[in-house]
Amino acid sequence: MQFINPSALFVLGLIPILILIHSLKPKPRQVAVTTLFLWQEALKEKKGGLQIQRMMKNLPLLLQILAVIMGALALARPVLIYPSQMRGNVILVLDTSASMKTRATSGIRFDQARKEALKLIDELPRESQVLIIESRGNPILKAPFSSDKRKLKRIIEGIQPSDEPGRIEKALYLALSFMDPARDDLAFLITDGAGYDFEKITRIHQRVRPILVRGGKRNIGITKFEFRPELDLNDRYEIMVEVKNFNPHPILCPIRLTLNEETIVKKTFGLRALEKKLLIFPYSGLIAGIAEVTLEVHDDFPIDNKAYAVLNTSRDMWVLLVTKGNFFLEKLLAAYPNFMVNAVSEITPSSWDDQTERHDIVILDRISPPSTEKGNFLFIESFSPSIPLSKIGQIHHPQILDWDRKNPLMSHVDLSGLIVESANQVRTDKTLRPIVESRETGLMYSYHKNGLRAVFLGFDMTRSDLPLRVAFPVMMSNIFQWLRPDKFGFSSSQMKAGKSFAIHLDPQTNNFSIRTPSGEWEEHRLKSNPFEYAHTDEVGIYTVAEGEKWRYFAVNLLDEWESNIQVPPVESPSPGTAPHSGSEPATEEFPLWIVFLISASTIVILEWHFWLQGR
Amino acid sequence: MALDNDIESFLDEDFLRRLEKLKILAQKGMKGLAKGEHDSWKSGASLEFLDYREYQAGDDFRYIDWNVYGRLDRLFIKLFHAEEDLTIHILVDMSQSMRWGNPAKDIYAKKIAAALCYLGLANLDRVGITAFNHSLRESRPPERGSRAYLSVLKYLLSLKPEGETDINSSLTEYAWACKRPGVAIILSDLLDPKGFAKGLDALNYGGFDITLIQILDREELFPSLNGYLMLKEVETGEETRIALDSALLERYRKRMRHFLENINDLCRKSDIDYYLSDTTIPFEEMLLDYFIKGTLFH
Repeated sequence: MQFINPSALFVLGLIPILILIHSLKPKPRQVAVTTLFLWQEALKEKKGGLQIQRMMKNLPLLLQILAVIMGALALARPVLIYPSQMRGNVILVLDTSASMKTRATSGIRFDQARKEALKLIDELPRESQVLIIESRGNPILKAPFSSDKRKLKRIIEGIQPSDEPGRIEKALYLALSFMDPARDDLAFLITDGAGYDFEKITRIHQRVRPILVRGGKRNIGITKFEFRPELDLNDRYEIMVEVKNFNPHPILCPIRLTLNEETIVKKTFGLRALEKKLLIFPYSGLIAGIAEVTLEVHDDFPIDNKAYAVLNTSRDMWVLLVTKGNFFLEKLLAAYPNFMVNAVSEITPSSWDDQTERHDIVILDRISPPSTEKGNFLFIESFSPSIPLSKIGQIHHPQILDWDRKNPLMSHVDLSGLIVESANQVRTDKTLRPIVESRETGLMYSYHKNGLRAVFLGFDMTRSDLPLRVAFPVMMSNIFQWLRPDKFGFSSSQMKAGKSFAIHLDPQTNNFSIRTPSGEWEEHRLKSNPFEYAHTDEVGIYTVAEGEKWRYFAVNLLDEWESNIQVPPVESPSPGTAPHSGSEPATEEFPLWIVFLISASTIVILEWHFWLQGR
Repeated sequence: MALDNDIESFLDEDFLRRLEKLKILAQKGMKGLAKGEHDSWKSGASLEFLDYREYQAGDDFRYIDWNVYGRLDRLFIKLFHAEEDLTIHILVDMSQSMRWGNPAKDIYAKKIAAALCYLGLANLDRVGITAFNHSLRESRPPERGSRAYLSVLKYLLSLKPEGETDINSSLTEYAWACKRPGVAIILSDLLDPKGFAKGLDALNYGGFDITLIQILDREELFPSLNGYLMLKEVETGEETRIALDSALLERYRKRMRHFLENINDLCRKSDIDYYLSDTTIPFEEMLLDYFIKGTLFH
């Protein structure tokens, strides 16, 4: 207990004065009596022993002294000071990045982190509000501010680490946005410190209290894994694997590469301490299926010991051809073995949206459609209200001035001497620049906005010599590839954990399923095409099941920062110590003056009562 | 002079009128009171002539003196002493505590004593008065006749309350010393811490017919004191300091009630007539009450 106004204790000086006053009792009045023996008997009859009698005799003095003491204490304004760990709210940031799966002495690093988080919740004052943020690739708000400890602990117990590389800064910025410095809010970061500049971050953010978890340190990991076709050589490919030894000592590393579970490479190589090595393997042959590279080592961080790739060469393309007849176009489309073409001669407005959704590419040959908000379109002398391009006239025999050779649509296309009988004169807004220009007007444009990809050809190809040129199939192929790149040519389908993957589905597909590497199936309803799949927090092969058709894509860690699992050697509270150690303990004050004032008043009333009784 | 004044107060018209009234009442068919006769007057052979008295209706014809009738033509009867005639012993407490009160208890006691003497002498009884405190003091031996009244008065008036009380000692001494028991009327405040039961027993054994009249002041019964007091015992000088509150007052009254109840019980058990009077009650009212019960004259 402390006193805010200790000088008031001088009031205690009244006590000796009270004692003096009581000792100066007036002389008793002498009275002659004849019945003293009866008075003496009456005195003896008083209840209680001598001690109590003496006390009762001095009771008024005792009560007055007590009242003075209570009054002095009340005036001195006493306060009870007690330590309070937190005055404000708490934001708990849990690192759930891939490095938290590092094997420790018992379990993994995240097991320790979970324990620390639960302990923190237990140690907080009952009225503390806690907010929980999970830090992985993108921060996730797991729980809003709550003082329900049971609920908070349940949430923490449900959190699992991911295979994603972490971005602690994003999580911290999110945490800081919830903090109110006026209320002494604090953020606790439970992390292993791996994968980012831990020291810098904790130095910058003073109101962040880090809690480091440790365990495991041996790691060698794959940081790159790529396939690519060799230039100008069919069926010849290069496989690139980058491996880094994160240990402070050299290591021998056996590596195995498989394609569709068949080993294509197997070798052992050495790495010096902290050395990073790039391995290139040639490959020739059929290159379709699931490729897997494995480091056959036993270390503390197995997630980066494997990498995957899904290799594709071709995909089915659904094409809606709206034309009253175009021999050259129809022939061209028929030449693509993976093209499924639906030809219609007119547009049915009521089913237009449905049709555009269900086809990968819609070609409108001299027929203008209604509004086309989304989809992949080739407009040949046709105009869409969705594209800022309108016809203002007709030009005969336009002369080609130039074309944009760097544009992917014009890759390997030569339009020199192209003869065009007639072309639409068009007006566009500033965002559109012609890919092929004539003196009078632009003859070719491309447009891409909000899920709408379109190529505009402003002339009837049947009234030009384009179909007779080599440029025609090349240009059309470029257009198809630009409109639907995923359906064309060779692709190595893999991505980093935590990134969203665009799944292009059949326009006729309504529902589809995805199987995660751990074998769980997820049902999805197609709301947009491509479908952005964000749950790539697990390294491995994902399966997209679209009816009978199954496709795959791969998710890898491939992050050198995350694979560096060394815990920074900084001073921070080790697991097991109080989470608030190192911070200034807050204190609370409870004023006691009212208690003493009430006591003094009660004693005065009591003394008055005894005095009245005596009278 | 003071004595003469005191005598005057005992002889003033008012006082005498009261005594006459008492006398008439005592003589007129009060229970147990014969008209001037006592059993002892009826006794036979060796009668000693005492005096003449005018004949009243109801007197025995045998005692009419014919000689006086022949001379005066009026009827007179003869009065005789008997060997067992009534002796009234009046014992008056004259300790220091009797001085206390307003009016002082000793004055009240003296008035009662004087009244009893007057009535006794008027009834031709032998009346003796003895004062006591811690022991017997001055006394007047029993004598007969109205002529003794004045000297009785002088005696009473000469008594001064002083000294401590020892009722047991005094009464026991009297019982032993007195050869002719009779009616013993004790006038005292009985405020003797040592008690008085033994004294009363001694008188009982001595053949006395005891009447105990306790005289107290109102203030002794119902004190009106308060505050911080030094109580000083008037007889012993002993002091006790008290802070008098209502609780202590209540306890004192309870003790007083208990004290009086004990006296009542003692007298009832010992067949002693007991009367309590405080000095605010006129003495003749007390005596009237006494006579109604008819225990003074047998």
